[in-house]
Amino acid sequence: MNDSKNGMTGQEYFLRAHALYGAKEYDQALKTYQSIAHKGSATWYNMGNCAYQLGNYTDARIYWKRAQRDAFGIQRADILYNIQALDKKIGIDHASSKKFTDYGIDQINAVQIIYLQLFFLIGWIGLWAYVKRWHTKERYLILWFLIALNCFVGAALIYRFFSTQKQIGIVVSQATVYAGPDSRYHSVGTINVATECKIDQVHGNWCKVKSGSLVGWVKKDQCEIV
Amino acid sequence: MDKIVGKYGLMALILMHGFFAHADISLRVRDGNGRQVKEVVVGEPFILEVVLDGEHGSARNPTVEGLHFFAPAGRQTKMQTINGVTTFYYLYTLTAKKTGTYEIGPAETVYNGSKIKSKPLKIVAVEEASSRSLNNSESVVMRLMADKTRVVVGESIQCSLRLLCDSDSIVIQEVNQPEWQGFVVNSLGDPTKGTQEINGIQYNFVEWSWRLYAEKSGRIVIPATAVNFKEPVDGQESSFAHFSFFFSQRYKNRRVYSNQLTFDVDQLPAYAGQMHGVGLFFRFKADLKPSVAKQGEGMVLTLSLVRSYDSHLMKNPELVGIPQGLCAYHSRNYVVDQQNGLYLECIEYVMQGIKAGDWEIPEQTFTYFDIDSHTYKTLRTESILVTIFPSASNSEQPVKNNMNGADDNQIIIEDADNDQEIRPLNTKGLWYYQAQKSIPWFIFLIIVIAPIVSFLAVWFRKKWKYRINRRQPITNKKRAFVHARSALKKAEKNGLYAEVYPIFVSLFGSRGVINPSDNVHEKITRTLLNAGMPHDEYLAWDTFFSYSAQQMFFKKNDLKDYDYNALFKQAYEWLVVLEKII
Repeated sequence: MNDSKNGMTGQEYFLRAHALYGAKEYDQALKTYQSIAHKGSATWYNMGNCAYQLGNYTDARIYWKRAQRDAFGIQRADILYNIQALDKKIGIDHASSKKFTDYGIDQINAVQIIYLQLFFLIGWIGLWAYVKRWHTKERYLILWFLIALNCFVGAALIYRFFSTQKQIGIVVSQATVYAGPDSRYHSVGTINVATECKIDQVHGNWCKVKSGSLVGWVKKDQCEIV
Repeated sequence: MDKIVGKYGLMALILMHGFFAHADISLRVRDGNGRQVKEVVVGEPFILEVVLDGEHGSARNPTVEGLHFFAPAGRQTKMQTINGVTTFYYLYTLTAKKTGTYEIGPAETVYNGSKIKSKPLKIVAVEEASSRSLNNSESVVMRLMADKTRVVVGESIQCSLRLLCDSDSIVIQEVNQPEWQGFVVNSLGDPTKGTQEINGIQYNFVEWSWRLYAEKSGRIVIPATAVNFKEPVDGQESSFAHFSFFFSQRYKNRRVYSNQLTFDVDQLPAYAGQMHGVGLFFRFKADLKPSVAKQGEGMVLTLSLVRSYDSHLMKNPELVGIPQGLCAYHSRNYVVDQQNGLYLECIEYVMQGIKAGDWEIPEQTFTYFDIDSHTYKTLRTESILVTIFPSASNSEQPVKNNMNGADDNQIIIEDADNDQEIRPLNTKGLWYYQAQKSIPWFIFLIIVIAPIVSFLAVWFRKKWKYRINRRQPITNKKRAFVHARSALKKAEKNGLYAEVYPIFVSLFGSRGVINPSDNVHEKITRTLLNAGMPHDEYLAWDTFFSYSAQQMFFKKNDLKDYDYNALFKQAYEWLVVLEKII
C-alpha cells in the first residue's frame, strides 16, 4: 500500500509516528498518523492513544471506536481496555452496568464475520447430514445440541449483519437532546462529552440518537459519526 | 645410317623425358570469386596461389617472399594428378593492410635436389576496388560506414553495413557480420530497408546499424565483410543457351566484399581519480525507497543518470561513505528511453539496515569525460537520511545508548505508556485499511437454503409419485375406451390386424373385468352374460373375438375366406356395445 505523500509511503508514516510517540511528541505523532490516507485498525488505535495522551478524550474515543470496527482478537481486547480506562478517567462507570449479554456481544464482535459464516455453514450442513444418515430416536440429544448450536451461531451472524448497518456516534461537546429535529422542540435531556450513542436516523443537520435510555435529536456537529 | 637415327632418337627421347620431367612453380593472385586479378582491395581477402606443376619426383613445400606485408587469414593445399603428373596448389588467404604496390615472391622450392624459383608478382592494393564502383555493372555492393573514424576511448561511433542490390533475381545466401574486435558493440535494432537511386539506377538496400565504443587506444581496423549470393547465369554464357527452355534458371555462386574501416582511437587524458563514462551526462540523482525501515528489511537505492543517447557508461560508480549501520549490494542496471534523445541510466542497489538508528548516505559522485569540451566533469548526488528501526522482536524493548563510546545516531524507543493506564501502541497490526473478508451474503443464503430446498424437493417428489400411483388405476379405468379407440386407429392405419385382440384384452383389464391370473375367455364370457348381453349378441361377439385372437396367434395367410378389412369396423362397433355394458 503506497500513499505516496511527499514521497513517503503509509508504512513510513506509521513507523515515523511510532518513533515520535516514543519520543513523547504526541501532537506530531498524531499529525503523522493522520497523513496516512487509508487507515487500518492499528493506525486508528494509535491515534486514539495519541489523543488520549494529549488529553483529547473525545477524539480518543472516536479513534478507538473506529479501530474497533476492524479489530479482532487481542487487538480488540486492547481497545476495550483503553476505552474502559478512558471511561474511568472521565468518570463513566460502565463496569457495574455491564450485563452478561454485553460480554457475549463483545466476544461475538471479536470474531471475524467469515469465521462465523464458515462455522455456521459447517454446523448447518453437518446438521442436515446427521439427520439424513445417522439420526435415530435415541440420539435426540445430539440433534438438539446441533440445532441449538446452529441457532446460536445463526443469531450471532444476524446480530453481526445488522450491527454493521448501524451507525455509532461520539458526542464531541455537551449536547442537548431534543424531542424533534429542531431546537424549538423541547429538550429531553443532555449527553456528556465523549459519550457513545447509537444513531438511528439522520435528517438534515440533526441526528436521532439513543444513549442508554435517552432517545432524541442532537445537532449533527455535536456528534461525530464513527 | 641406322646408328645416326638411333642416336638422335635416343637424344630426343631423353630431352622429351627431361622436358616432361621438369617441374614448374608459379604465382597467381585470385579474388574471392576465383578470378585472377592484379589489384586487391585493402582489407578484402584475396588468394595467393603457388602452383607447383608437373611433379614427378619429390619437392618440399615452397617458401614465398613478401608475405609479411599482408595479414594471413588461412592456408590450404590441393593436389591434382593427371597421367601420373601431379600438380600441387598452395593457397594462402591474405589481406592487404594498407594501400600500395607490393611484390610477392619469388616462391622457391627444392625439386629433385635442385632449386626452382618462380617469377615475382606485383599487385596493387587499393582503398576501393574500381570494379566495385556503382558506375559499372556490379549488381551487389556492400558498404561499411561510420560517422567518425577518430575518437577517444569510450566515445561512441555509429557504424552501419549497407547491402545494395539492383536486381530482384539475385538470391542472397549469407551476409557475414563484421568483426568488431576492440569495441563494445550495441545493436541499434532490426535492419532497415529502403531504396537508393544511384546514377539513375534504383537499388534496394538493407542496412544494419551498431553503436560501437572503443575499448582501447590505437589504430583499429575492422576488416571487410563478405556477402555470398547466387546470380542468375546469363543465357549467352551457357553452352546450352539454345536449349534453355528445357531447363530451369541456373545460378552461379558469387561473393562480394565490403570495404574495411580504420579507426584511430586516442587515449583519454590522464585523470587522477576514478572516471566512469564518456559522452554527455546531465544529471546524477540518488533515491532511496523507503527511507524508513526496520532492521533487516530491504530498501532500494537507485542512482539515476541522465545522458545523451550515444554516451557510454564505462563502469558503475562505486558507493562511497556508506555508514556501518547499512550495507548495500548491486542489484541491476537498466536504461529508460525518455523519448527526447536522452536516456535515463539507472543503477540499483539493495540496501539493508544492520543497526537501528538514523544514518546518512553521503553524496555520490560520477566523473565522465565530456567529449564536447574534452575535459573531465563530475556530477554529484545529494545526501540521503535513513532511519532504521529495531526489528519486530526488539520493538517492545527499549534500545539504550551504547555507554562505551556511544553512537549518537542511535535512537531510544521507550514504552511511553508504562506509567499510564492505557495499553501501548499497536506496531504489528494493519496500519492500512483492509476490508473484512466474508462470504457474500447472497451466496451464504443460497448455501443455507440449499439443504432445505433439496429436502423439500425430495419430499415433494415422493408425495407426487405416491399420488400418481394411487390414481393410476382410476385414470386407466376412466380412459380405457379412449385408449382403446386410439390404439385401434393406430393399428388400422398400420394394418396391424394382430393388435385387435390385445387391445380388447387391455380394455377389459383396465375396466377391472379381468386380472392377470384369470382365464381371459371364460372371464369375459361370464362378465358379458352377467351384464345382460343377449345370447345371440354374445355369439356374434365370440366369433369376432375368436377371429381377432386368431389374427394374433396364426399367420394371416392361414386364415382363408375372412374379410380382414371388416375386422376393424367390427371392432369399433363392439367398442360402442361394450361401452354400455362394462
